[in-house]
Amino acid sequence: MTLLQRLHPEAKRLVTPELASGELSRWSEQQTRSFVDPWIRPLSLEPAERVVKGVIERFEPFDTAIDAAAAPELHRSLPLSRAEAAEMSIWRFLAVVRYPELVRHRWENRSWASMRARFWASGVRPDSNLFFRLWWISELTRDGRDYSLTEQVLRKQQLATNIFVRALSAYRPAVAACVAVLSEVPAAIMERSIRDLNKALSTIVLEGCSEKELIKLLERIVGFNTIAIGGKAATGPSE
Amino acid sequence: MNARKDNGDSSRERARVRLWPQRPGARRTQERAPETATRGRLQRVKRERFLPYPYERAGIAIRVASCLDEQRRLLAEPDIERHLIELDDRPWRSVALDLCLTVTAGLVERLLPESERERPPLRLLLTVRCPATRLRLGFVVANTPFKPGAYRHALKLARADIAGTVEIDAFLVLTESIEALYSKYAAHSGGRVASSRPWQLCVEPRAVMPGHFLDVRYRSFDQDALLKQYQANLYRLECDQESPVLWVNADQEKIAAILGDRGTVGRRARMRELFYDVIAYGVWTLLFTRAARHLEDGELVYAWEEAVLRELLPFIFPQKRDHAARLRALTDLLRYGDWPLLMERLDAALQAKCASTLHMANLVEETIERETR
Repeated sequence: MTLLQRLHPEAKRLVTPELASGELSRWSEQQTRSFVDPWIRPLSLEPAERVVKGVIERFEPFDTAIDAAAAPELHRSLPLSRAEAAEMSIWRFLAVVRYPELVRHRWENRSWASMRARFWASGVRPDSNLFFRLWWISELTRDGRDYSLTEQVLRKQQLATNIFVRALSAYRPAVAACVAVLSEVPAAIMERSIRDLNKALSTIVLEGCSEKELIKLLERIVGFNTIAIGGKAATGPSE
Repeated sequence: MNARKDNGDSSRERARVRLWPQRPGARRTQERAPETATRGRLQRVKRERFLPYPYERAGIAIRVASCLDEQRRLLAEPDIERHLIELDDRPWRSVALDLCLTVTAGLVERLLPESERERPPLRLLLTVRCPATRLRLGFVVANTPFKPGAYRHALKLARADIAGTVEIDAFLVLTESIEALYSKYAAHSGGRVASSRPWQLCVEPRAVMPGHFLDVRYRSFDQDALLKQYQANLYRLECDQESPVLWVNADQEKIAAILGDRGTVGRRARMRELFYDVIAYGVWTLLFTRAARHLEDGELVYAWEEAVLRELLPFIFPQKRDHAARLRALTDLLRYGDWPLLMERLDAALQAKCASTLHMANLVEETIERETR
């Protein structure tokens, strides 16, 4: 049985252009042995392995729909607490040692810097560790076992990027409000409205706002921006 | 004539650049130093940004009465001075904090126009933020119409939901918009008008920087309305208060990771020593000049100023035998307005105190040793 393990920080040297391009499919167990440690408790990777295989079979390479489909499945297959999931070493183990093929299947190797970050960097931005990003976006957006908000937000890549590069993404009502108001607005207005919402939050305490209040605020912002930007920059809904 | 004029202009430009090195890619408004040329001399102007209405940053008091585990056993004694709770290594499943939040009538008066004081449209909020687990929680402790006073709140956090450091803060926010007539005051519903000095709950051994006079806190400058303007900086010292607070910019992730490193050997440990020196040098200078300025004005204002002078003056006036003699020597220097000489001595004193030379040599040794290995 394959178990979840930790990858040492020194293992950054394993993230090579060859691994990113697929020229090197995987590092052998012998090559990674000195960089990995058992995790704090035995956690089987069999369910996660099924998810990875399933995604690669079902989706064409670089299909943006992978995120919305894979995120909830990965989250269910890796039952971790938030405190456990805060440890970066497990996500690096998954991306660098165990399943580099999923990183390569999701992201085209256009830039070495971005590709390296997708194996190694923490965070929920698009240029961060694939497993960390998908698991944490699911965690931040789920409502118990209901992952509908996760799927909605990840179906709109540009919207997801604009939300998850900001700290407001850690507050579920804020993500829900963004999805409710901004999913169908033109990309230019969506981007500017999230930026304006973030500015407004310098005087507003986000944790004191309900989803309804945030929707009202965002609608007002979108109204202003629709007038300000007008039709000239508004080219269609964000994809 | 032209040549002389050119020389003068370029030396002024050099002076500006030396004082304020530009960051590549920085926006113009941020990279240019606020400055005015007065009578041919460059003068730096301190520019602060505040919220455009009365705001009390530490107006709400939070007291932690107890910190217990799930079996109601004491987990840690709250450090009231530093607003810090450090949990030990004992296993626990949840932590229960008994909090008391106090808002005085005087605070409400300062924040609201007279017409709103009878039924203050305020809400008292408690927020819990844990950056490591991206936890952001809000609790309404008292709602509108708000009554000043003391409020108890029992906060329970599960071990599975928190890691690293948790920050507990309180805010007063407006629950409805106030007429624009009172433009001096916060007007918009949802706007925050006061906050507390936050408490930090350290779930695991935290990144602590050595410092006897300072409350050192890590915070994302990007996420803090008042610190945001310094987001290119590594730290910000707030010392015009009883307990100085050193805010370290958590957005500078690579540097913060080194500062938080707990190793005692190797390159990271050597780098950490040097990073501490850089911060310590700046912070000691700011603390000392603030204390010296108050002394020059007549008397010290805060207790920490006395402590800072007792710490640094032996390095600045090593020939003087006691504190009183050192204070007299400092007062004399200040009376003659000889700040350049004083700063020169302070610089020498801090170089010796921070032991930067030793730490640099250690890092060089460590690096060369690794390269030749």
